[in-house]
Amino acid sequence: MPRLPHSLLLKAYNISPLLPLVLQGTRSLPSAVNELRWLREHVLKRNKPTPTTQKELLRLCKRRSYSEPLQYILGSQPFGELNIKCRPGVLIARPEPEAYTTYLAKLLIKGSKGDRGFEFDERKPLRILDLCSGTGCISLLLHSLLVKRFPGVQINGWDISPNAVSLAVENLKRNISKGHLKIQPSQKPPPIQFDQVDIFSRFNRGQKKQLHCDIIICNPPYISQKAFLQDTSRSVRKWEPRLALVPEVEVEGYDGVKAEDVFYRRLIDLHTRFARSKLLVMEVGDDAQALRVATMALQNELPSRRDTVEIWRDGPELRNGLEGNGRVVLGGRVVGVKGMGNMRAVVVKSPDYVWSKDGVGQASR
Amino acid sequence: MLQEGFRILRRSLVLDHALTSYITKCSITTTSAKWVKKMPDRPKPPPEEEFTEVFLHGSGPGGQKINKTSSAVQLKHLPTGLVLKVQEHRSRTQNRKLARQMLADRLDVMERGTESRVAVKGEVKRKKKSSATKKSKRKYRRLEEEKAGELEGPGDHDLVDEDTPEAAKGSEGRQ
Repeated sequence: MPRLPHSLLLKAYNISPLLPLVLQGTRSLPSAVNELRWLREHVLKRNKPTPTTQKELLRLCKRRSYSEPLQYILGSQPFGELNIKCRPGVLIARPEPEAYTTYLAKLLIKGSKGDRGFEFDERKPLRILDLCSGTGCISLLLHSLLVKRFPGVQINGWDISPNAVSLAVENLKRNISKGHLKIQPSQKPPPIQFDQVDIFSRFNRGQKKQLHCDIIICNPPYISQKAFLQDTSRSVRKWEPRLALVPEVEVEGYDGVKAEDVFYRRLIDLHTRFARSKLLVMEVGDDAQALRVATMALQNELPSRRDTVEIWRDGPELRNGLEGNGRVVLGGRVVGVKGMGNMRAVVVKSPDYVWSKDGVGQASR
Repeated sequence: MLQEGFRILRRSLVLDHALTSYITKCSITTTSAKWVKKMPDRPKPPPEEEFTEVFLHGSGPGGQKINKTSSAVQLKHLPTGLVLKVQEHRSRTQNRKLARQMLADRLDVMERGTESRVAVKGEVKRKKKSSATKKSKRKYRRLEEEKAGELEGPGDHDLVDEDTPEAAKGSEGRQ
């Protein structure tokens, strides 16, 4: 990691004496200015500064200078309209899942209006499975966005870490009490549930029942050992759980699958063979991985169902004049690419149940 | 004993009733005073097709590899070429809302000038402030003159005290 130049530190010091500390954590001046403002707001909470609050602020800035993530210091992260509690041991909610989750919800809502998007059988409640749920942010956001259109929506979140499951339950309660989620405590069956499940293990009867769902969405660990050491930022490497970042599972029979892609192979299996779900959304790390996963999904589909595969970028809704919706051809099959930014999610759709007028439809036009 | 209790209860009920009826008679209202001039309505953001939106978080890898706290939103209004960036909140959702509102305000200023909401609000604020400063100036001038009068002697004090408000009024009228 390159050293911060003295000129930059001096410049920061001239803005605020606390800023060099924050700068050591953020490594860039504009974001340091923002973070210091948020730290100050967190400490003061609209009160006048006193010696005690200044001391507290200094303490927090020192923590930030050891590259502790701002979200762990403040204890929360906004996610859509929700407020997600964060604490060490559980991966912090990122803006990318927020973008594709919002987009997914938008397509689901639009689909029922017959415009463009996905369409589901409206007589049955919509069932969603959120794998590697972490803080539970995706489950909670989906519920808050979908409950109006799909009042019976059922969401199950699975994570291997008991720490993450308990935090997800806390987040559920927190957002209900803040009024972000419209759930009555007496509601049966509970619309959102979190359980500790290892998705590579054999499932018991209850889990198999939950597995039979309409949509699987997952933000699995996807960073390779090498990329973890080279590409990740220091605050991620030092403070966030490795379990949620680097997949370290040995699975027999997955020959030719890279270590960082193991989860995708399992997810595609779950989607096509076990769950027979209609939609699978998986977050990926970069463009190369997105193409690998899309190819894997096309190769592993059952002959009886021809799935369509789509790739969403960081901002799936954003449209740039030059870089509009594109497509790539993988193994003779066309894969639509939506939005702007890096490739961020691979989406597998089953035409038996779901149809979409844009996306893949556009490629065949 | 029991009857005593009932009596107290009844009395308190009667008292309660009297109190509530008194309050309703007083009719507490929350409507604003009529003489306050109505502000122009908050301008509506332009339709989504008229501007492009970009989320700024630098280039390079994203997702799990880095932990971004920047949720900046940049809007570019195509017909006017107006660009604005908002990074006020940690929440991108809030920043997007704020950015649209700010864009609407800016366009309103460009379109209607002094009649726009921002300009009218600014004008009201400026007037309030200037009258406040004028008042405080007047107060301190009077205090000073009183002090001076006391030093000179009790005889002059009355004169000075009577003169100053009128003098101040006169000077206002001339302006």
